[in-house]
This record gives sequence, structure tokens and C-alpha cells, in this order.
Amino acid sequence: MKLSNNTENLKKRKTGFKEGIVERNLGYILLAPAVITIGIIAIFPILKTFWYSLFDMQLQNITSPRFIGIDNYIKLSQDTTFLQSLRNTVYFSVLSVILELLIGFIAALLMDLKFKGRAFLRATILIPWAIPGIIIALIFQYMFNDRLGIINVMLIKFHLINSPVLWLGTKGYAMWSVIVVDVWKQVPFMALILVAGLQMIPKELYESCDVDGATYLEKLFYITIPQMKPVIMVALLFRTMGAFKVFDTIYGLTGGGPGNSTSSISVYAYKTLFNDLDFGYGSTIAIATFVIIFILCLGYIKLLGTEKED
Amino acid sequence: MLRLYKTIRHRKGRLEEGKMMNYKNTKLIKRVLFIMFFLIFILIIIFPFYWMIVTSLKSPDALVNFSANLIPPKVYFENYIYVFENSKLLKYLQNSLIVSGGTTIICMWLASLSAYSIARLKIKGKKYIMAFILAVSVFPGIAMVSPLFVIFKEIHILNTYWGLILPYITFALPLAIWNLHAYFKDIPKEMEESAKIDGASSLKILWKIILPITAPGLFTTAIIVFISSWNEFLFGLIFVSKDSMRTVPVGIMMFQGEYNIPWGELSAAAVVATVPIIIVVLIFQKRIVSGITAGAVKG
Amino acid sequence: MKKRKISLILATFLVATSILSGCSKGTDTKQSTESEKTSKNDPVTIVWKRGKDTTPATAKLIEAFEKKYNYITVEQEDLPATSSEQHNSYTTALAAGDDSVDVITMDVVWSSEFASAGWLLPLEKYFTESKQKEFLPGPIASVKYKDSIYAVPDWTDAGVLFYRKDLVTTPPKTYDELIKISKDNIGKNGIEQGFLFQAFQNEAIVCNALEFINGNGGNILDKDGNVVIDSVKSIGGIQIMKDLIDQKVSPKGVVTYKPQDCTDQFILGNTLFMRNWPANFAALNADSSAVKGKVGIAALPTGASGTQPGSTLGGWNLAINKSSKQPDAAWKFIEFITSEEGQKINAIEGAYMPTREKIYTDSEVLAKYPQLSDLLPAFKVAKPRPVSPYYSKISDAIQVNLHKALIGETSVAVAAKDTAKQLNEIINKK
Repeated sequence: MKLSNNTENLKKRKTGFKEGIVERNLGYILLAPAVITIGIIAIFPILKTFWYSLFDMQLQNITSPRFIGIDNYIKLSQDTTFLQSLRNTVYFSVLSVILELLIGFIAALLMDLKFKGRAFLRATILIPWAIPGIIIALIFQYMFNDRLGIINVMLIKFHLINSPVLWLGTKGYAMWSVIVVDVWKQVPFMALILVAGLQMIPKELYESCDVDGATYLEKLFYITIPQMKPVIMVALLFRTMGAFKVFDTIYGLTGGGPGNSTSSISVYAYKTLFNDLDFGYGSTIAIATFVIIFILCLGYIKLLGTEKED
Repeated sequence: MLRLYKTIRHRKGRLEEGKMMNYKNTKLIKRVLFIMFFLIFILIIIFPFYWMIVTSLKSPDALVNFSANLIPPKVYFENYIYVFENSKLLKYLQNSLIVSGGTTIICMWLASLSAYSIARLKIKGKKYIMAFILAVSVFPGIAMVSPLFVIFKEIHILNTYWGLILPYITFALPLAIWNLHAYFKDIPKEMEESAKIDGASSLKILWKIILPITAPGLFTTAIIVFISSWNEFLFGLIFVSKDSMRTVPVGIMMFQGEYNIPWGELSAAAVVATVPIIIVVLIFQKRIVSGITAGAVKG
Repeated sequence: MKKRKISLILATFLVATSILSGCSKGTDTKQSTESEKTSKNDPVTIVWKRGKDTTPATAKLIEAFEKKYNYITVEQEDLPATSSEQHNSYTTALAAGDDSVDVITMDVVWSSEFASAGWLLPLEKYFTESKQKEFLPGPIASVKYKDSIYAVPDWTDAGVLFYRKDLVTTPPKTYDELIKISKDNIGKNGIEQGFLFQAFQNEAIVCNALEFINGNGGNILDKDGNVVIDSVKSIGGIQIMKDLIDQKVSPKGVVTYKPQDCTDQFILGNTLFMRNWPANFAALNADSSAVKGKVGIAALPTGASGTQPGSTLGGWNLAINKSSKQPDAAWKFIEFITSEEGQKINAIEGAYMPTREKIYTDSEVLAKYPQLSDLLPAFKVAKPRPVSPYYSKISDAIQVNLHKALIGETSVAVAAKDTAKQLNEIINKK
């Protein structure tokens, strides 16, 4: 009896013409709104930026820019400030992202456990991320002040250092200060993405391991991490992108200093576009930033690999 | 044979006993370490926020003479009174809520549909589409500001909510789509297959099965989109010049003077601005970590 | 799921309200452009953008103006008070031909930049030579570009020396004196450091450096526009900054200090001298200040090769957007704000320092701010930073190189030479 009902249902489905079209092209239909929105809003500025980068277009000749082809790009490849900014950005990104992943993963594991105060932990962990970036930069600048900032005051009180350290004005320390602030700010993001991934691992996988007497670490390395691969990849991907594009934290804390040692490529692009009003060259830096990060992303995707696509 | 069996059982038994004793000790050590790590972790995360609260409760005199005190000498509420009565912070909060809320809702709709189709449906050129979507979010927003300003001015959406919602959606979509598609991929295919056999259409599968299971992923992505739009500064500064339409980050920057920063008032404003986010998170945090809902596996 | 239904309703509601609010904004702008085409005394609205004013001065100015010209309504829009955020906002809007703003308030260094981009209305027919003479020379120089004048100075600012008049009876005339007095006094009476100044890697370091350079007889550009930052006297000026740090008269933290960081320390009573903007005086004399009543103001010292003290010109100017649809009304407003009456309101209500010399001797103003008479000599000799449309790039080159010198990464001479090289490239791009 049931069997005949089922086959009747199936028959009904397959004979509907309209449903067939929708069903077959459903993928495209569902995808269309998002892609169209992105296309309309983002394509024009991106193309325009690329166009500007081929011109000598500054404040003075803003209405009559001069076409110079790839000259801007040649200039960029020899620009010591850009190269230094690039070095700084790579250093910053590698360290930040690794730290964020490690600490974020641990935080996610913590958030996953059942214990009293779990809700408190979850809400608390998100606080750093809930504060706007420029405000964080201001507050940390206040805290890092060498003579009046709370960090030095406390370090001296606990006899961890003898005299005030100039965190934001000394070459090596400034970069580390910036990294610390960015990690503080971004760990919640990592933790959030990872914990949702953790929550979606079917409990049966663990249960079958428990029967065999697996330890916590074994479960972690053989089940959790492999299952989380897609989620980890997305988190890494977007955090690396975010780190490469870092702006608020650096601009607000050090202005790119000391001596341009913390200047990132976004800070350099910003200064060129908004302070110098050099639209041509600034667009070039923006395009270069884009290309560099995009190649990185493609690299990520190939390396960590997605599963077989249809 | 029996002898061997007995020996093994006996050995295993002893091992178990031994394990039990070590287990209890290591459990205690693990507990202690866990609590210590937990406390230090929370401390580091909360400290700057605690510092903000402390600063907001200091009087101008205390800010000058007791700037490094961990506890305000006397609790001073005037900063908060100023924020609520004399500043436009409440209006900024309202604007941010509308903009971020609108962005999140619309973005989640679009992203869920897109992510599902990419994760589960047949589409040619999937890789290229995903790459394209990714590319958009890679592009530095700084360069987009001028061209977008020109467009928005032409279509008269400057100083409106749409003037911010539209670009925010555009830049949140890539992360949302990629994120959701990773969560969707994680769902075992068997569930969908059994539903298909029962004759459900793809849309129904999406609605009744996939979305409930990926609730943690959905709410996580929603929170990420919400907070990202909440914290956005540059577009908020450039596309909105009427003070009554400003969003929170730009609004808080309005507290800053040309050469000085009124730390008391600014911290109070920042604290007040963070509270709605914490509330939103508290409301949704159960959903984020609720785990697989019962009944999904039964099919 | 219920939540989905709720969010759907919410979304529809939001969409509806936003669309409605979006529509009404559109019609507003259409109205104002039509109305001004009619005759002069028909109601007109002008839009004035400025950094947020925390004093009652702006409100009082608008009130007084609208009383006088009751057919003009002034709509004032606030921007963040920090200079760089305003710069971004203006440049993006003006580059896109925005005509929704009529009067803008510009930082003193932007005039030639904005003028060269064609964003400002030349003001010769309104702001004649004879009228210009009533203003201080420094600010006037900052609003001129290529034979034309583009803005009217609203209020001014200049770097000055703050000193503890309870410990130092006569302020030092040279930096050598300052160093000696500092060394003599460090360790006594709670004094821990000698001289605070600002060298954060942004505009702050440029303002301060210029004072040291000018004070030693050097300059960044000479009067013909040639780069002279690597002249012997200029290098000597920069060297003074380095010496102050090396000889521990100034803390090495100065490379991270902005104006407020210096005031925060000076107010605790542990510093003898400070270079800062006059606006900080009020805080230093507040009741909670440890140095209340003990602070004197004087011109900055000179270097060994200098004859005149340096003092970097700050301040803000008022200009008319070239695309403005009501330039006449806009001019009337600017004329009012910068009139004697307007400047008096600004000074008394907001402690904004006037750009008209006459106000400095006005009894009402002096009653409230007696230190203005000390400040006038400094303001008269205040020198603007290089007046050039390329000022941003010039500033950036100076910031980065001088910062490197102060943190010890390069020597002062090398930093000056690098700066000169980059400045020459920037300027010769013409």
C-alpha cells in the first residue's frame, strides 16, 4: 500500500512542467539575488579603481587626468615605502592569524564544554569584537602610553619591568603591540566561527570512539580537527584577508610609525588616497593590495582543498 | 584458552584500576589547570572593557589625578548623564540598530539561498562564482569610497539608511556565503537523500531540514554580519553627513575634540554602545551553541 | 519557524520605512535649489559644515546672524572634530561635485590644496585688500593661492611655551638655556622631566619640528619655494629635538605623544616646560589641576642660529564651496562670523582665538581670557606650514623621515637629506 502511494507521489512530481524548470535551475535562481547585488554595487567601483590606476590623476589635474598605462605599477614595484609596508603586513598577518587560530580554537573548545558560567563565558568572549575598531585603537593607545598608561603602571607595580617601556614608539615593540591588540580584537570572531563548527559535529562519532577508550587529545586530532576542516579553512581565509587589509588598529595606535615600521599596505593606500589625494597612484596601491590578497586566497583554497565539487 | 582469557581479563582489570587512580589525580590537575587558564583568559579579554567602564566612572578631576587607578575614587555618573541627555548617542544607537538589523536580515536571506545552492545544487562554474564573490570582499574598501559616493549621490541615497545598508550587504555577503556553505557542507548527505526519496523538493529540504540543523551556523553568521556592520566606520563617515542619521562608531568619534579626548564621556558612550551588542549576543548565544536538534537524525 | 516569520515581517517593515525616509530626503534637496533662483530677500537656506563645537559659540553665532538677516536660515552640520576625518569627508564630497554644502570650515593647511582642485570659490570681489588688512598676517597668508584669495580666517592658533612660573621666573630665550634650567631643576620640587613636546607620526611632529627649525633660522621651504630643510640651520633645528631626548631633558615617549598626552603629564606638576597649543591653558588652570595658577605662557625659545622664535600657525578658515547655489548668502554669513561682533562672540563663548588684531585689546574679551595679551605676540609671528597644494605629501615625507631620526634609526643629517630629496620630487612634479 505504502509503496504504491510513494510511487504515485513520485509520478506527480515528475510530471509537473513548471516545477521541473524551477527544480533544474534552482541553483542559479537562488544564487542570482546575491550575485546581482554584489555585482551592481561592487563592480562599478572596482572597475573604476582599476581604470584610475592607469592614469596620473591627482588633485591638481583631477578633471583632466593623464593616461600613463602601467607606469604607476612600475613605480609601485620600486616604491620602498610600499615594499616596507608589504613586509610589515606579511609579518603582522602571519603572526596575528596563527595566534588567533590557536587561541580562538582553545576558546571554542572552552565554549563547547558544559560547565557553570558557560553563558557568561560566551557573552564575555564576544566583547572585544563588539567594540568598534577605532575606539579600540584609541583606548589601547591610552593604555599603552609610556608614563600614564595602565599597562606600564601595572607592569612596574608587579616588578615585571623596571622603567616604563615605550610600547608604541620603539621599533620592535610597536609591531607586537599592534599584533596584541588585533589578536585581542579578533579572537572572538575566530572562536565564534569555530564553535559553531564544533557544535555541528555529530556526537555519534565521539561516542563510537569513547567505546574504544580514546583520550581527549586523540579525539581532538582524529575527529574534531578533520571534521572542522571546511570551517577552519573559511575562518583562516577570511582572517588572513582581514589581517592583510588591517587599517584601524595600526592607523589609530601608531599612525604607521615609529618610522613607518608598522605601516601596512592599507595604511599606505589610505594616506595616498585620502591625505595626498593622489587618486591614480592610490588606486594602483589598492589594486596591488587586491591582487596580492586574492592570489593568497586562491593559494589557500588549493592548499587546504575543498571536497569534490559537483 | 580459558587461562589466557582469564589472564588478559585480570591484566585489563588491573590496568583499569591503575588507570582509575591516575585518572583521579590527573583529573584534579586538569581541573585546576583548566580553571586557571579559564580565569586568565577571561581576565585578559575583559580587562580593556573593564578599564573603559572604570574610566567612564571617573570625574574629570579623577581622570587627571587618578588616571591609573583601577577603581574610580568616587563613582561619577555624570558622564553617563551627559551621554544620555546631551549627546545624540541614543539616536546613533537607533540608526545603527536599523542599519545593522536590516543588513543582517537581508544578507542572511540572500546568503542562505546562495550558500545552499552552491553547497548542494548543480551549478556550472561554481568555482568561478565563489572566486568572484570572494574577490569582492578582498577589495580594499578605501578605494571604493569615492566611486560609491558619486553613485549614491546620483540616486539620492546619501544620508539615508539604504545608503549604508546596500554597501554593507554587499561586503557582508561574501563572508556569509562562504561561511554558510562550509556549514552546509558538513551536513551528512544521507539526511537529504532520505528526504528526496520521500519526494520533497529542494526548497522544502532547505527549509525544513537544512536550516534547522545548521541553526548554530546560521546564528553565528548572523551575529558576525550584525557586528561587522555595527562596527563599520569609513562608509558611515563619508556617506552620512547629517548628524541625526549617523551610526554609532562615527557618533562616538564625534565626542573627540580637536586636540583632546574627553575620556570620561567617550568611554561612557563606548560602554553604552557596546551594551546592545552584548544583549543581542546573550539572546542568541543559546542558539549558537545549541547543538544538533533532536529528531533530525531520525529522518 | 516562528523566528523566520518574525524576521520577515521585520524586514518588510524596515524596507518600508527606509524607502519612505529615503524618498522624503530626495525631495528636500530639490526644494532648496529651486528657491534660491528667485530674488535676493526670498528665504534662503545655507548649509555650514564644521567640526563639532563643544562650546556654545556656534549656536550663539547662528542665533545672532539669523536675527540680523532674517531671510537666511543656517543649517549647521557637525563633522568629527579631528582634522583628518573632516578632510576625508570634505575631499570625497567635493571631488564628487557635492553642492549640498555652502560654507566649509578648513584647517589652515588645506586652502591651497582645495583651491588648486577647483573646489573653492575665489573671494576677491567680496574680500578686498583693505578688509584683509584687518586680519593677522599669518592667517591671511594661509588663505592665498596663486594671486587669489580663497577663504577668510575664522580663528587662529599657534604653538607656545608653557612654563612653571612658580619655579622659573623668566622663561628661557634659547634652547640651551632651557636645557640648562631643566637639568638644574630635575629632581627638585617634584620635577621629573624638563620639556614636553609632540612628535607622534602625524601632523603633530610636523608642527613641532617646524618650530624648532624656524627657531634656529632654518625653514622647510624658503620664500621662493625652494627646499631648504637640509640647510645647516634647518638640520641644527632638528638636532635640537634629538638632543632634548638624548640629554634626557625630554622623555623618549615624545615620539608617541599628541597634544593631550603632554597636557596630561604637565598637569600633574612633574614637568617644567611644555610646547603646546594655547587651548590647553584652560585645563591647566582648572581647579583639579596641580599646577593651577602656576603656569605662564611665553614664546618658544630660539636655537643657537636663530633670531626669532618659531611658532607654527594653526587655526581654521571659512570658505565657500564653488558649487554652492547661494554664494551671496554664504558670503554674508562668513562676513558676519569674521566680523568684530562675530569674533567677539567666538572668543567669549568658545575661547576661540580671534584673527582680528583689534579683538586682542577688547576689554570684555580680556576680562575673560587675560592670557590673550600674552598670546598676541606669538600669533603675530606665527608661521604657516608650507603653503602648497602638495602639502599632504610634504607633510608625510617630513613625518616619516623625522620620526626615524628621533627614534634613532637614522641620523638627523641623513633624515633631513632624505626629506629634501623627497620634497624636491614632490614639488618639481609641477
